[in-house]
Amino acid sequence: MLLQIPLMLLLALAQPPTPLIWAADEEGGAPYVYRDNKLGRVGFELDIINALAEELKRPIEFKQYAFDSLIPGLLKGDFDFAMNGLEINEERQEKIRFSKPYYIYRQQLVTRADEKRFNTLLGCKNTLGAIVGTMDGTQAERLLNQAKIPIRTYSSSTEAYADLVSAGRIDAVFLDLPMAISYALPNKRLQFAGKPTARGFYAIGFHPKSETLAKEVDAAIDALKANGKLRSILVKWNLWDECQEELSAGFLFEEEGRPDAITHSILEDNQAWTIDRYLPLLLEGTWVTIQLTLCSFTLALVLGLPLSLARLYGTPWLKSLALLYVEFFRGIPVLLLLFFLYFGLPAIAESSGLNISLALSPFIAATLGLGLNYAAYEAETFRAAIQSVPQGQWEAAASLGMGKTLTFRRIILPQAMRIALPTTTNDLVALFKDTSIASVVALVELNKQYQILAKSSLKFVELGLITALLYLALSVPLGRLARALEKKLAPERR
Amino acid sequence: MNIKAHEICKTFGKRPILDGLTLEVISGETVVIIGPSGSGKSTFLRCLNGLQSIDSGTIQIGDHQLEASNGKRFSPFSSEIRKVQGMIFQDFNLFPHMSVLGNVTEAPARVLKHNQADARNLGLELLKKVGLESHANHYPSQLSGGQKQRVAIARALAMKPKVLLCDEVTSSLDPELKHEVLDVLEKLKDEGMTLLMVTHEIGFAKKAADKVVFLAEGKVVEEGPPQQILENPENSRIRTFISKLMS
Repeated sequence: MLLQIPLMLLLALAQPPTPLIWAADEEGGAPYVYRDNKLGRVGFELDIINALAEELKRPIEFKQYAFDSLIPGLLKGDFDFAMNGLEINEERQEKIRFSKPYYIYRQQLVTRADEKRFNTLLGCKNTLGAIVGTMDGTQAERLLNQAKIPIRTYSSSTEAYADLVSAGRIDAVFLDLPMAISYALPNKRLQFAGKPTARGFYAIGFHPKSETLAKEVDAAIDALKANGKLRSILVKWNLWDECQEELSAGFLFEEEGRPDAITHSILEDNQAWTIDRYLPLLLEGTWVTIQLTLCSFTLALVLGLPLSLARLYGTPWLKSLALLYVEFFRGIPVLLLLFFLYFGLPAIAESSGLNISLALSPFIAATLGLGLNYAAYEAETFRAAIQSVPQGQWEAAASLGMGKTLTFRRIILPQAMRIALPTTTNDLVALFKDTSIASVVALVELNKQYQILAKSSLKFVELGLITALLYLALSVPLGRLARALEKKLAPERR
Repeated sequence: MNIKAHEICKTFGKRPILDGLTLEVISGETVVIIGPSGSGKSTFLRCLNGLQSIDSGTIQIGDHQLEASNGKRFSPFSSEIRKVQGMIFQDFNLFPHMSVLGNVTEAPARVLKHNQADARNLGLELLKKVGLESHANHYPSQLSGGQKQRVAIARALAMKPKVLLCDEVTSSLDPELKHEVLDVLEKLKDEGMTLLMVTHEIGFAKKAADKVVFLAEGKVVEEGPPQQILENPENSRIRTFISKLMS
């Protein structure tokens, strides 16, 4: 026993220092940190991390974290720091502690190579119907919003550029220069439109309480600048440009204290995030949610009834076809279906050399995806309801000389609808909430609008409560409406 | 309208239900079919109305002939047969989503294509006949069992049938409600309706039947006037059966 204590002390001393946890989103795309088919996880930020680890003499471990959630995750203490092309801006500075910058970014407008209509953001704004793709929660998105240019947001740069090239659903992409260099520069069908604009800084984000660690990292970044390692990494990734000279000079930031004192956006956003600013946006999202719910549920009902009839009364061939439909669409995640409809179809049309464009608009893709999925559920609900009408009803109608079709329409269906109504209402409420999935196909409905606003204002709680109230304000009356309808359809129970 | 059933056979799986049943009903007669459970009484009525197909034998209803159809549930000739025969069920089988009047007018309006006013007048007249004209706008769930069965009778009558097939129409009614249904049937008999009834109401059989048929194991065991079958049957099984019913 006595021997064990010094042994444990010894072991503790011999152990390497605990690794720092670094969070980033490798799905955000190249060249920050991403997955390469052959090389595995790579990226210029990974190279910087490795250099920092050497400098700090501490191992640094990677943690996959959704880009949108990096700042809330940091504040929650899920990891030690976030480094993933985080731009310094005022809202973020109120919440987190930024390190010294490691890269000076600019925004690059990219268009299709054959674009003749415009080659600047202003030109794009003046082109009727032109939509610019960008990423959620980025400085680029804020700039576009401030400039009031119609946008569509994606959760990765890959999706945005793919939509520009193959689907043609957007007319340009406005994103940070590193992404443009990675994706657009090697692609012959894309071109840089104009010069990069809107300078800003990438820096590492820390919890405000991690001041000691942040200072150590600041010193390490300074060291990497001084010994030229940072430069060689940026050169390796084709990211070195004249802008970065300022970075190494260093004095620029020291003069004015912390880098947050410097704001480099072309259009500074000084407006406060007040309710009169975000409520109209949330209501806009609500309206999209309502439209999407109604359209996709109508589709589900219109498809569901014939499917249930085919399942019940069809020829053996029709029966198995309907069963196949139900099993297929009930068995695959609706998320997968949406992704396929939105990104997969245009790719199929392109690779098979079809002349028709299969590039669906976000709304159509979402309506189709949700409608096809819910039709499978409605088909089963209707089938069960029709079957639960007693056989005696068929016989009574038959004994009165009523034919099959007439009996079904006048006697069976009305009773089946009444039986199905509570389940169908449940499905409608479920679908109403499932519409939030549509954000993956760049549709800005209520939930997406909340995420966008919360990310830029960092008011997760306040906006979350308002959004929840908006959802409830719709789903609760929906349930009441259904109960009223149930009563109306069952007059004898009044 | 005469009914002739000749050598009817019907099996469910391997179990024979009707085993060469032969029976004749003359127009205007009231025939009461009795017999132990499982003897094929209900199946016979359902076959007559084409709700069940027959395996062999023939059924002739007026000019209409029903022959064995291989396993088809609803015979193609049934619709003609159903226009001359009404059927009333033990469990009423009223349409719960329609009013009492709606139940009665549905078939004349949709099948016979009566216009709305005609169908309505007919419906009200028939409801008056069964003593329920004041309940025209009620729904089935608001009625007692006896009232429901009277609506079912009015509904069947709306198609102007020549024959009424009554399948244990009082079996799910409380004793004090049975008479209101039986009174209606008796009135119909007096108006010349042909009635073919499966029932356990011996009293009614004695009073109103022209012929009583005892069925067992899918065959007619004995048939004759009620006094003969109910009070003085040749077959001892009938005596045992009836004494059990009376006890």
